[in-house]
Amino acid sequence: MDFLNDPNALPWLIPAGPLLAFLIITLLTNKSKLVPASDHHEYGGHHPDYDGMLVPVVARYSRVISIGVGMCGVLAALVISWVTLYNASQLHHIGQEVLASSIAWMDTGETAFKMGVLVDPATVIMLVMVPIAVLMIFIYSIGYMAHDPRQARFFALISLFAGAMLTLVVADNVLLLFVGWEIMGVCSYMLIGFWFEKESAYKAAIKAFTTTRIADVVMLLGIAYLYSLTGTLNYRDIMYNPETLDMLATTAPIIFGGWTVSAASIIGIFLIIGTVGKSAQFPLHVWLPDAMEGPTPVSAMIHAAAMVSAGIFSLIRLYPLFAAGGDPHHGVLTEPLAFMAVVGAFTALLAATMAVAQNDVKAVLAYSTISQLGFMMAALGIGAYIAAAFHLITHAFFKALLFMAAGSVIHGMEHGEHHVHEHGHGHDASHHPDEGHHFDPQDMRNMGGLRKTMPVTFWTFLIGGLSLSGFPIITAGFWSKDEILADAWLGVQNYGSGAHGMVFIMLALAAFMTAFYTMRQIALTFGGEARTEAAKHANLGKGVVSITMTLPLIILAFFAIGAGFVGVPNDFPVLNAIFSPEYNAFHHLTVEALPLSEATAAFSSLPDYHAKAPPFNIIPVATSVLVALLGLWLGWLVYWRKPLKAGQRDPMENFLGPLHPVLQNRYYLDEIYGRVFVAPSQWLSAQIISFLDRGIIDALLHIIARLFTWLGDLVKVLNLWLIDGVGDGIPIAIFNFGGWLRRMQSGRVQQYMLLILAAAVAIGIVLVLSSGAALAQ
Amino acid sequence: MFESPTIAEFVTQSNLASTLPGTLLVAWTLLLVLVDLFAGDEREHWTPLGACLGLGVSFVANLFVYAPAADQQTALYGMFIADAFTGFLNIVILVATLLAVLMSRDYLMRAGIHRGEYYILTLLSSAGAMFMVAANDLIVVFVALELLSIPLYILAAFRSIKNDGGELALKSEESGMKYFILGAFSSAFLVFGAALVYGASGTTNIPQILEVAPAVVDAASSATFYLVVGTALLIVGLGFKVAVVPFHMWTPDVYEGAPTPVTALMSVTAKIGGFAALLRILVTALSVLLLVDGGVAAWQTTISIIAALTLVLGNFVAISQRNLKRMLAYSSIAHAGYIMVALAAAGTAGSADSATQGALVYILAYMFTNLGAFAVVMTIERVDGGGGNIDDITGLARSRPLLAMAMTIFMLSLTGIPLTAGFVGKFMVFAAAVQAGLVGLAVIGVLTSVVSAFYYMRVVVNMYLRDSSGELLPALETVYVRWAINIALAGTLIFGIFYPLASNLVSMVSIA
Amino acid sequence: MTILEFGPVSALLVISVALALIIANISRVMGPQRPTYRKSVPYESGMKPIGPATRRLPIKFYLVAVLFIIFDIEVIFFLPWAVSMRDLGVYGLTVMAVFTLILIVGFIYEWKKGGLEWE
Repeated sequence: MDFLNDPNALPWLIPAGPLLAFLIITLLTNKSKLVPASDHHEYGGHHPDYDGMLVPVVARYSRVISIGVGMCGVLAALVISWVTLYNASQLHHIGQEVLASSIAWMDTGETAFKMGVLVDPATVIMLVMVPIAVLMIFIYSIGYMAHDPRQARFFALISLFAGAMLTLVVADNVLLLFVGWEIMGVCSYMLIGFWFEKESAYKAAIKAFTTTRIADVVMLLGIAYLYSLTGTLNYRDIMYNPETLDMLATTAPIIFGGWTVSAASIIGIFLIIGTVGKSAQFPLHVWLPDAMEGPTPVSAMIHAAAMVSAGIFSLIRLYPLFAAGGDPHHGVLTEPLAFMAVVGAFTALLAATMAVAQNDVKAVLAYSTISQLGFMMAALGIGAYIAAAFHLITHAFFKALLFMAAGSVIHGMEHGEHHVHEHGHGHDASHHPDEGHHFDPQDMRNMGGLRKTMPVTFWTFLIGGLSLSGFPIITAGFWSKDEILADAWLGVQNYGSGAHGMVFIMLALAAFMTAFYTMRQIALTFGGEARTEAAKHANLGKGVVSITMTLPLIILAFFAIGAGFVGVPNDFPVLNAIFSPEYNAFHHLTVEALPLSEATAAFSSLPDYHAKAPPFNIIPVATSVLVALLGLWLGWLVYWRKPLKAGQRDPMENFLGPLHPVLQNRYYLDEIYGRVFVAPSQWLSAQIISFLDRGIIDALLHIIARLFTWLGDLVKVLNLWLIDGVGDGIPIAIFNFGGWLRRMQSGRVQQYMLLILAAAVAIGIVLVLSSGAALAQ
Repeated sequence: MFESPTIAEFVTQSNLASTLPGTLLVAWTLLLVLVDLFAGDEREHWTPLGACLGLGVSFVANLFVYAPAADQQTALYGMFIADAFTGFLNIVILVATLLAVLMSRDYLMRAGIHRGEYYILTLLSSAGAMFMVAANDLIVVFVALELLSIPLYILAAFRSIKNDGGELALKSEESGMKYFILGAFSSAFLVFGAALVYGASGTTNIPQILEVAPAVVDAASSATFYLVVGTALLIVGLGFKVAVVPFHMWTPDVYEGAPTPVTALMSVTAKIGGFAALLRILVTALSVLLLVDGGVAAWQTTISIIAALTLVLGNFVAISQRNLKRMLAYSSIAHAGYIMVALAAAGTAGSADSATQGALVYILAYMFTNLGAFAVVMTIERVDGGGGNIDDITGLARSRPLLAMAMTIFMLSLTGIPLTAGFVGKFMVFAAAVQAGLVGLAVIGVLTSVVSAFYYMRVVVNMYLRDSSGELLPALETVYVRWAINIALAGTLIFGIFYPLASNLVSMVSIA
Repeated sequence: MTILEFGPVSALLVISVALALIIANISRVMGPQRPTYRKSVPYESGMKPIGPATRRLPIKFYLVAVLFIIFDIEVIFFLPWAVSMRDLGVYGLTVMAVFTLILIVGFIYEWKKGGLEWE
């Protein structure tokens, strides 16, 4: 395969860079020496948990290699992605034509299971987003992880993470997608638990891993079932092939044979459950908030560029399967679609309410991620396939921006705290209320007024926040959210579908809350006056939040605004003239990933996938403008106009009353899971362990004890038998030996064997010679 | 796609009935395992009795298998064959096993190692020999060979008894171990040879090899070379089992160390199995290695050389042996040499049948005679393995005149004196050799028979003409071993005196 | 001509051996090596080694090993049969039953003789 010159084969190389970087970093940078950690920022930097511990000192060349190689890998991925995008743009009609290349990976009897790469419209949009976001995260990591002793490990893992994500994006079949999916699972486990000295970090890692694993098992079942029915896992063979879709939609499944469910529905729900785990939807959302225990670039990676996006991306990829058998654009939802609509809308609202009561700057963002992913899932559920894809892209940009900006804030706060300690500032109780217990640099109540000390961070965070809130017209989030609402409204308007109505109302409510808590977050962090000494000295001396950390913020801020303009509806008043004179660019591209109308028309079970975009309607537009502005205004009113004083209670606590602790504690879902699932399984394992201990290990010990007694006896017997026997035996042996020597019969097996071997050779020669005449004939 | 037959279809199609002599014996043996396990203290009566009954059942079943070449049947889709060759050799094996079991009962009681496993292993080994003579496929040859050999390895090491000093006699263990190692070593040759033949011909089925091989030979390509080398390796592997020079070295060590009935058994059944396979492979399958002019098989030279070497070495070394069992061991090597002469004769076109029949008669005679001789040696042997020297037999004629007479007849038969079965066997073999044009080999055979007379007659001389040291040998044998000697004696004399009986029995045999 | 027929096989042999060697030695080549006494001693779960690893074992272990092999082979026979059980039908069942019966006799023997007891 000519990888470099064949446009079809080139996508193979997209994940290769980061994956190679992972290998090289892992192989080359393991040389480090251990020293006791000290306060000095080189040993543990912003992580006081390292105190007194033996930590590896990052060797200079190790740091250089890991950063250099990692950057090269991701840059290579970026460049190749762009070349691939260019190649794709040269295609006559992308969608009907694709860039694809595959190899026979495993022969399964008559057919071969093929592994390959595919660039179709769905891949294209991801190839626009993922490499850029990943590159920004890498650049940001250089600054953020500058003083971490395990930098090489970090860059290796995050390279692997990026490589896995890119593998997943360019995969041409569900199994390779699953491979990338699982590698990301492992990477997220290792990166969330990156600072494993912290108990909370490793617990979060285990939680993330086990939670997603539950979902992955179900997803694997779905994949297996899909394969058993179709004999292939290739997207084009299933999702772009009306015959296969029709077959799946009209086949009764084995398990619920009597029920009016199609095999496509069963497979769809199984696959969706995989995403429920990966994209942190209710009820498997619990791992995502804890995942912020990892370094902030990792959070950005998980929340924006890779992990959770992968879940939604897989749904987008498999959408024709979910919709097969129904017609969402005419109000007929299949079971998987209804499932997605309910779970997504519910999650969007639930997570938004939880975000309102969080005090941790990253936790708010984490819940907002869950909420926004709920938006996408709900959008898919009502058939708003393009809107979901659109929101996935815009969300990735502004969420990466927000996380990295939050990381800058935390970084600044930690340095402020250091500064306070080193220079003896504020050692009186009034200025340092946290004396004696751990200072939390992520708690928004400790911040305030940071707009003065960290202006770049403030402005970029503001842009990201407004985009998240869906601030009208100028932000990307507005356009994508508006499109989801427009699709939902279309359903309500035309078909009066309950699901569409539910999605519309719940998402509008969630959007309102999103705007509110985003404003609250901005106000608490950047508004008002500094509430602690640390906040006052945050980023003091400049350069703490270095250029490598601010540069990505600025670039992403550009995307957080600009990314929306590719999807402006072509009947939107005024703006359509500027951004979409002929057609909605994003819609035009994305819809081509779906099977053609002409092909599906022949099958009654299949919907018209190439449905028209919803026509312009003032109600959804007004709704999205209204909820965004109302939420922001309310937040501004409560938190910005009257900034929180140090030690003052959050106004929300008064407002929500007893509900506030419930929201803050995430509806106690973690506790419930702990009681219902974790504790019983831990009890069971404890029982098993104690049984093993008493029943098996003890028994083994007894056996070993007896064995040794027995061995002692054996030695005693051997003594009598062997030693004494040899004494008497030697003269006899000599006699016999002499006797043997006199004869040809040596009694030695080895000699016999040698003789047999020689004889065999001789016989062979004789036989060959004597048949020589025959052979010559 | 494979259509699964029903059981009835399977039984008819596969012609399972033809394999009954072997399979019934195996089934009976498995039953005997359970009987032996649960029989309690009675087992020392029940197990040998059960073993004898099983041999009887198998014998009866075998009578239906015994068919002339025209009526031969294959079983299990060509894996097994039931013809006169199989039927005849099955009878020889069964009788040999019966004699060995009769001897064993006595021997085991004396040695205090009476265990049921002994009989079970004996029967299994014999079943292996029976499968081997019925083998029509190289794979069956190998599997049957292992079934034949593995129990013998264990049996050879069975005599874990103490000698006079209360020390464990390790000779039996050594014997078993040596037999095992060398046996495994030679099995590898056999398998490799079979693999090469398969590679050359594309089949392991013996008649099919016969069909395919001419083309292989004519092609004179690398496949022909593989076929020849494969033949050489098969000869090596099976030559070990039948203990011909130069693969004989294990024989004296193993025969001397193993319990005497086991020695007797393995000197007969293992040889029968090995020779049957050699005959089937060389005479049936690879007779195509015939030179066009002269009609002599390519392997004839090789076999002739081996036969001559075996005759000379076996007989000459036997002279210098003082231990009776060791002497009989070398004598058994020598007798393998005579059968090899018959095999070599079968390599000449047209004399295959007469040579095969000669070999079978020789095997029959050798079986009766050799087992009888071992039975006599067993009666005078002491439990610890001592007392089996040539001098210990001195004066037996006076103390045990009947026993001495039996031993004399066995020795005469082994030498090949007329009116004994041994003479009939030797006569037929030499006649076949002369007919096949191997006059030189026949001369060597006759001359070495004269040499063998020296050491056989020395036994007779010792028994009759030399005075004993005065003390009479006690009568150690029981009724069982006496029966064994009687049967062997009867066989030796009947087949010797009624000369045409044996040749009539084998007249239906044709494997070429 | 015959050698060439075995070309792919020979290549496979060479490559597999080479690959095994490379994998076994790559850490030696690429990794740092600062052997100390403690690193060099055999790892015995943190205990100091008390003697050579090769010593006499009770024959019972071999008995267990042999018994294991027997039933291991049983499994090896069962697996292909189980895979094609439906195709083989009653015939396959009978054949396997005969095989199992033989094995069961052996198993009963082993059990009754105390082969399954350690002492």
